[in-house]
Amino acid sequence: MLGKGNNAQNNASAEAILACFEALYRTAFRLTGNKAHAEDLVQETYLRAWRSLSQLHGLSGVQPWMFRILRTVFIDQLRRESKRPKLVTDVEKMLAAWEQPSPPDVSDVKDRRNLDEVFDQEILSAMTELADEDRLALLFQAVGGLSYREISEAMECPIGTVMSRIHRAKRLLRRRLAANGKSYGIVRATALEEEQRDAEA
Amino acid sequence: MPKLNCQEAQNLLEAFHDNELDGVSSLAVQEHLDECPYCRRQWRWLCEVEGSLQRLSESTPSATQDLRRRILQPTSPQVSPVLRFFRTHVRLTLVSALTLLLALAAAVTLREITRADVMLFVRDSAKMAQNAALVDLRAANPKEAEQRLKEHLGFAPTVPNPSGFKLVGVRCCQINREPVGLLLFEGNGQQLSCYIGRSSMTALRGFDDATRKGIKLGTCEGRRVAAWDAGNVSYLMVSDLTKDALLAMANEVVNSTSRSLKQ
Repeated sequence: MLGKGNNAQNNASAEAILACFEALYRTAFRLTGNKAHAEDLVQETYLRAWRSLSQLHGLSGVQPWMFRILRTVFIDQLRRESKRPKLVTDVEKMLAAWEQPSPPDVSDVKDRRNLDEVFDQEILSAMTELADEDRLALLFQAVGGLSYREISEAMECPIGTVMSRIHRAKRLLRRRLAANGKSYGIVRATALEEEQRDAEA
Repeated sequence: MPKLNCQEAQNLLEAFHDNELDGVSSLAVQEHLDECPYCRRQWRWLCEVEGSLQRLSESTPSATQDLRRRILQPTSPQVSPVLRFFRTHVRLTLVSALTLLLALAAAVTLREITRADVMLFVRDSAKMAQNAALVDLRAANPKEAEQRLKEHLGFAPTVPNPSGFKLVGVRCCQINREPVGLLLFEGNGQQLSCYIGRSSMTALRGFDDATRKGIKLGTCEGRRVAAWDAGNVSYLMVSDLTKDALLAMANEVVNSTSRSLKQ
């Protein structure tokens, strides 16, 4: 009976682990910035998860548990990378810079889509400047879809720390967007316009 | 909750956007935003950031089928359960290994410390042999000495017969709570003492040298000491002879005792 119970529990755990696959991969992709590294990261994450499946008791915490493993593997890889001299240029980043759209004319409302593209590129670029733990917290929330409580479990830190990390990360991103908006002269169409309206009011 | 200032409100903006604040804090942030154009501007930039993050999340490519297959069939070699246990419990393994190492080091050190010194042995032996209540046999007969030793030690050791020396007596006593036989030889005005016991006397600390045949050499208060083991019996000789002479004597006795053991 006990054996059957354990088997059923293991099957349920395995199913719950597999259900995290897409969220893990998407987070890994945004963390590493390229497909090959993301695949390595996810594969190693699952390898470790299968090995320690017996440590997973309750199913409610499966997603934080998987993200915790992902974080550990990612930090291990970062440490290994930092010891190795960097020989390969990040091609995707180079291409992204090359394909950066030209500054839009925001007086034209139709150009909002182009503006979004500029902002998205700026955000991608700014994310590489974040501290690793801040970036992890941000991506776990924005791409992985974890709540602050789940992130605190995944990162093994208090919820207040998660709040600070996400605040720090997003503050940097909004400052970068604001600076970018000003330098392209697009603040007028977004925030500056409303700011003036506020001032008038 | 008291009204928030700009700094406090901005610290909570992200959590407010993510619906992670409790009702009171949420209301406080909302009230501040209603009143503060500066923070409203920050809020709008935050909404731009959130919009970008949303788009980036949605545009992230999906994983390939190949990766799905790979995570279902791990390619790592099969490891034994023991190795797997050590891999998953790295800390426990390290602590256990460290504890084992410390215990081993402690055991070796303790053994080293508790092992008696050959100097002490010889000094104690001399005193104990002098105070021995047992027989002080003036006998030059090796057979008689062998019989006496057999009665005291519980076994019959080969009685050495060093050339140039004559057996003049045998004493039996307890050294370190073990029965030890002491044979006294004389020759050319010199004395030679030979201790015989079960416990290995070569294991004592403080010897200076050792030969290939396992004879250990040392000095105790100016007197030369040589010790060796033959089968289950251990011998220790003390004399005023030179090192070379005592070694030659010990070699001769070793050879003769091993011959008698073979017979």
